[in-house]
Amino acid sequence: MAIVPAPLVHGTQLANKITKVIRKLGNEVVRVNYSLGSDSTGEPAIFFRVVLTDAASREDKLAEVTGRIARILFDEVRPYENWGLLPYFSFRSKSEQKARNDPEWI
Amino acid sequence: MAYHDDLLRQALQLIHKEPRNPKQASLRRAVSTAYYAIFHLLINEAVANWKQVSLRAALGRAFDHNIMKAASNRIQDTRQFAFAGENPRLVAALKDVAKTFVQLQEKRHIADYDNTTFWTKTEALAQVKSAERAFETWEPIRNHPIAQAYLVSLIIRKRD
Repeated sequence: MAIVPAPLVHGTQLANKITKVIRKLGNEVVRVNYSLGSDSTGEPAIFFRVVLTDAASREDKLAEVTGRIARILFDEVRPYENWGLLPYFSFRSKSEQKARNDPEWI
Repeated sequence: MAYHDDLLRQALQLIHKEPRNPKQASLRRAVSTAYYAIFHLLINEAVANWKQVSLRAALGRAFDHNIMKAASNRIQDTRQFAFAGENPRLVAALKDVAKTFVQLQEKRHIADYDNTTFWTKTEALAQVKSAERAFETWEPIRNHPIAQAYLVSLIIRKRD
């Protein structure tokens, strides 16, 4: 599983924590990227972008897979409690990202 | 069928409207509709406690997106809400519903206003499915005191 760290605005502590947690996400995850910024109401936020395998992106699996991944990142990184960051999650399939090749997802 | 149930169903229909090459308009409206499904679910559940049925819709107008977001975030913080003595699975379920509300509110904002963001079908479907999951999660906990307390908190602006 490839891991691409984001800019370390909060220093290495947050980045290290996220990297450790990403390793626990399993084979359904192709890649996780994230960035820090503000959400639509101006609150500090962390935006996770998760590329899933095509099999894990199937409609009948998607709710379970995305719910589990978001829960692990939320519960183990604790972005809100420990870093004051509201976490947001986006999910794409591997083939969708290949077709789009959006740099912020690479 | 209740309005929020219709909205959830409509969100799924929008996802599948163009199966091979979904239009951005369909995917973005699906995400927006999924948010409004959970928004109206929670309001409907809260105002159902108002004894006079004819006034429930009017009471529903008192709910504010930002206050609901703040309340949903507050219960995630164990320093503010330890939920001591409560069933951990119940607490986790309630927190999942609240997290989904916050997540979908942000996604709705992007879907409705941000023309620079491209939505893939999986991205939009994941959001709609999260709303569907929140509906399922809510059902068995809806009458528990902590779920009812959460509903009340959705209308209360926190004072410093």
